[in-house]
Amino acid sequence: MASGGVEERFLDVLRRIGREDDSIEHHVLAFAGGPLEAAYREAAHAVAIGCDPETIERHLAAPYDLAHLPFERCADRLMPEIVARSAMPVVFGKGYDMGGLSRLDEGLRWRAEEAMLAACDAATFTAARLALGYDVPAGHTTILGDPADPRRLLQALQAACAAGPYWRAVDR
Amino acid sequence: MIPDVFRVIGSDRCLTAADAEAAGGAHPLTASLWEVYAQHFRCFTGATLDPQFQYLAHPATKTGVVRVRAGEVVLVVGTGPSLHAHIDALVRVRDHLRIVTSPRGAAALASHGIVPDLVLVEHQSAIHAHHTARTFGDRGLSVLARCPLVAADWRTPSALLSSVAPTDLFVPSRLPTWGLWPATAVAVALDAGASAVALLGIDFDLPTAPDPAHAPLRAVLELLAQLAAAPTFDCGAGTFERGWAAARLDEIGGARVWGRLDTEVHPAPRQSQRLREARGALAELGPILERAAALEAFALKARSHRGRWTPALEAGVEEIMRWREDRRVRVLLQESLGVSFLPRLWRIGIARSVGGALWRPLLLATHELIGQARALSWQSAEERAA
Repeated sequence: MASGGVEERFLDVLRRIGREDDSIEHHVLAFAGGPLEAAYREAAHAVAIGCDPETIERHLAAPYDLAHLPFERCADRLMPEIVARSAMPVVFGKGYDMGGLSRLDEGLRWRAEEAMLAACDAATFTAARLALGYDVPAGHTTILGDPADPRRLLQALQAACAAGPYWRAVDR
Repeated sequence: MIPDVFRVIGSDRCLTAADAEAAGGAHPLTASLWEVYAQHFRCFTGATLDPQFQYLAHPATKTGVVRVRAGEVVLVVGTGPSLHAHIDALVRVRDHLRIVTSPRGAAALASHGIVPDLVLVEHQSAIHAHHTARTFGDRGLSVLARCPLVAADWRTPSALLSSVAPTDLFVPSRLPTWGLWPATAVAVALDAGASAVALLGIDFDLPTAPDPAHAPLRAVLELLAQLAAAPTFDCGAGTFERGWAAARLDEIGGARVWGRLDTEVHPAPRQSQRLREARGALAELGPILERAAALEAFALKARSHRGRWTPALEAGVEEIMRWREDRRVRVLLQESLGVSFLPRLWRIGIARSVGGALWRPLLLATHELIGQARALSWQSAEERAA
């Protein structure tokens, strides 16, 4: 929850989604605390801070409709855990994180990231220029724009929820 | 000396504590080591993964270890706030400490006129390594050129080492690593025969308000203090609960140090030999790669037509999970191909209850595996041509 990075941009998106549709409940799992913690607690319905197995297990066991992994480091940490243990849809958000910048500016190909883009249910990119740097399947990707358009993000999340017949909606 | 079982567990070559003891020897603390490995690393440190195949172009001509003379104390220096708080004291006692640090630590020390005895280059991931190389390149930092010894692990980008003289550069052999450089530096110091090891600038939050992101490093450092035959001190924030006694820098200084650290080195494998080994690994993995490509194609098909073929997906998942039973395959996939997801899935396990969504773990594992194999094949051909 450091300030000035992807976390700050995602906080902004979270606030705007809340204004767009207040029926959506957001639970945020952060691996570490930081200056934005109070703001996240205000914007989300619940905030947990931890990266230990118990915390992750607890979230995997919860009846979430969808997991949104907003940048590559959290996706790298969580995606294997989620796809191995649950049918919960996964949306991978790509922005100008370390992997994205290195790929665009220096041609660094991080193949683990490519595998995550292939194995998620849907991907979002903040910019079309960024998405062009990746080989993503058609119908799988939404460009959010910068700043991210919350309505487009909501559509992508809802589409991911509805996409797979394997997915069973959970009554809350 | 650190018991070999520490290095063996950190290398991710073993799937159980019993395997680790069989490979690294029995030790009373093996159960504690394995508990930390399971709790904080999910039984996978990733410390030997080189997904960008930096080892093919690594410029070092030597590999080996450092030795510390009798009575010498090693100070491992990070860039946390306590470094700056104690920099004047460090300048005063510099001649009574061997200083080991990271490239960023060397840059921070240089601004105070301190040259470390050893720079250990080890990054937590390929992205972090790339970021350091880029930062040093962008800022024109040539601090490593002024350091008497640089121990750079095989995964280090050659661009980061371009200013280091061949005589000052080596690859640390049999590195006792769990992928977190301060812990590795402590283990190297203990293996080198330090009479005491101390920390400065390796700062954590207070035990009463811990930051979970620091928990793995804190846990490994506390284990190392238990394994150490020499005393261990924290000259920084002093926030350890166990093993690292709070101390002032002027309390821990040892014998006066002089000259360069001693080393025991031997020739590193030449680039041509590393290329041959890479091609050999690809050839040896041929049958696995063929099956992985077929399973990747199937998982992609299942992604497009969700909900079908669940029994076939289950069979595919069972097949990739069975590969874990062959130790040689595990080592080649991790250490030669730099694959990260399949080894983690081997340890996490894949629940059959995932049903029609099993295409996701199958695709995650095989997509990365095939991508890495293609990249290694291409890169080894490029290096050979060069």
